[in-house]
Amino acid sequence: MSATFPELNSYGTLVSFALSLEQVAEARAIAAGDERVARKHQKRARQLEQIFRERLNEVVLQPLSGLDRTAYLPADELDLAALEALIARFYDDAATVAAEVLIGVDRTFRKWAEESRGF
Amino acid sequence: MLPEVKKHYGKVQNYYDGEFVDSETDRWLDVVNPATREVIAQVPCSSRDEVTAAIDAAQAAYEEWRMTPPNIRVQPLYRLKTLMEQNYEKIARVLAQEHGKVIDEARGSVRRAIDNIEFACGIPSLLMGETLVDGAAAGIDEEAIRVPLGVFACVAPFNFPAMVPFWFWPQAVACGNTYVVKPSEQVPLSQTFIFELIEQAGFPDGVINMVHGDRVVVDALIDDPRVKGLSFVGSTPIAKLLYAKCAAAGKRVQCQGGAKNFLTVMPDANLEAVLPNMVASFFGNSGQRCLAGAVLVPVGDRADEVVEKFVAAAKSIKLGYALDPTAQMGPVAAARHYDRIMGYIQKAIDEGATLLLDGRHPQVPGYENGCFIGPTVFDHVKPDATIVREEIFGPVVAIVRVKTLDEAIALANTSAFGNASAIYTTSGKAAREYTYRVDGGNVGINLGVAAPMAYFPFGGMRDSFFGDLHGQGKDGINFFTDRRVVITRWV
Repeated sequence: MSATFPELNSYGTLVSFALSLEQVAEARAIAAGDERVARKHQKRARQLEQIFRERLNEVVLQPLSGLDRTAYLPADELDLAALEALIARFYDDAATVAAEVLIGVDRTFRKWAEESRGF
Repeated sequence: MLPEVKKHYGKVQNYYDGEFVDSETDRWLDVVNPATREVIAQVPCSSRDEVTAAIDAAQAAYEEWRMTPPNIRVQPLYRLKTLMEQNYEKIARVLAQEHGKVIDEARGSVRRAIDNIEFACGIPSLLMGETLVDGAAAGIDEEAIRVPLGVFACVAPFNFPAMVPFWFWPQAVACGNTYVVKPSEQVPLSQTFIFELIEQAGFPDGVINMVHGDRVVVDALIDDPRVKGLSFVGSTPIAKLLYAKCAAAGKRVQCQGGAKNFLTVMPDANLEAVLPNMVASFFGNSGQRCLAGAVLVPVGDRADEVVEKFVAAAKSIKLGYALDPTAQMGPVAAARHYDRIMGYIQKAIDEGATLLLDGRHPQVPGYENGCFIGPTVFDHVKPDATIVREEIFGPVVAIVRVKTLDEAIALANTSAFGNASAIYTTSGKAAREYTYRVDGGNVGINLGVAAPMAYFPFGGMRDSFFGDLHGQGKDGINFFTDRRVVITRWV
């Protein structure tokens, strides 16, 4: 899946947006020579792929509102630390909406938000 | 926009006796992408002879397959699961392209197909029989063992073309039967692609087969005495007809028919939390779900607020091509179906319902020729109006306001259908009362799409289901096996 940042209007787009952020973060971490952080983002991407495939069934599919994609777009000039801060903010907000229907995934998002703040 | 797997899929082939086979028919139908109305494939209306060839293959494979131990029979299912995981996105995209359901919905239905394979992989445990030592008398034991029956078949609907055959055939085959799938002729591509994976999974030749076509295929399946049972999902008139024909022919039969699902909203509902779910029930899959909400029943003095918020949420739904990941609703699946839904909208207007939201002729840039109908909402609909009584199978909502929960339950129970029903409430008492009294096969509490998972039976009552044993879960095991009682005395 290539890095695209769709409008955040469904749980599918929420997870694919997260996946794109992780792909960008992995690339920036590699460019910055930080392999540990790159591996973390790679691992998250794998987990997101699983969430994408295994958690989004028709019982939980519903429209999503309240998240503005432009608030989480990773500008090219962001350094890795600033990007991690943006990712942490995204997961904080995503966890709030995920708590409605993707129960359990919200905890993962909160954990990742904490983790990104610590990078 | 996600890329299409192919622009054109050519002439679709049948699959039997372990091979893809060109149909010899001279009757072909176009497969049309409903978002563009472009032809993307041709599907054969296979002949009786071709059905017979598929049944020949299934019958020939049966004896050896039934003697294959259950733990070995599930091995190709494990391999198929892996192949479907690997091709998950590709299947979903073919499905979105042929059907019009948005990509998230397409992915969700592929997931459910895989869920059913996983369930069938548990057959060695599920198929165990019952034994009672000294069950008949002292020193005489009694047991009931499960045995397969032979060739089974399914006739699949157009609304979930990739998923529905999986409600049946993995279980049937794992139980030791052999199988013939007839996909919907309107949307045969995702199932055909899945059969390419089935071919790779390594089932013995003839164990699982596919024949495309129309009623000629269905009649041939029913007329052949070697077919021991049929599973059908589609409209009520056809379900009723096939049920009668199969019963007359002495076959096992399970026929899921149409639906008209009532969603009751109590005054104590947490509207903010449940509104997206309600909207998804009515408009997900463009209303073409047998579990979709069709009639919204606000109870009591919050009706105005419920209706206002519901219409606002419906208005904000984004229509688009299924492969646009941000589209929330695609076109309806076919031009013929589009015309039918438009007819129902006009009928509701003629019968005096108040049109709050008109989804006719929406603007979908780039897809002006598509079969798009936006969310359409009628208020103050009379309980006996056509759009309350008849299945529309599209994004059209009838709102019938009532004063009490009793009235809401009575209204739902007047419907000829009994597929699904839901209540939105924060009261456990109201939820319990609703579940207990409403005459439907699948009930949602604060959930508008009460879709049973693979390990539960897919419910349905009254004109929504004809048969005894439902698809999925342990009902499936009972449908696809008989019980042989053995009484043993060693002398």
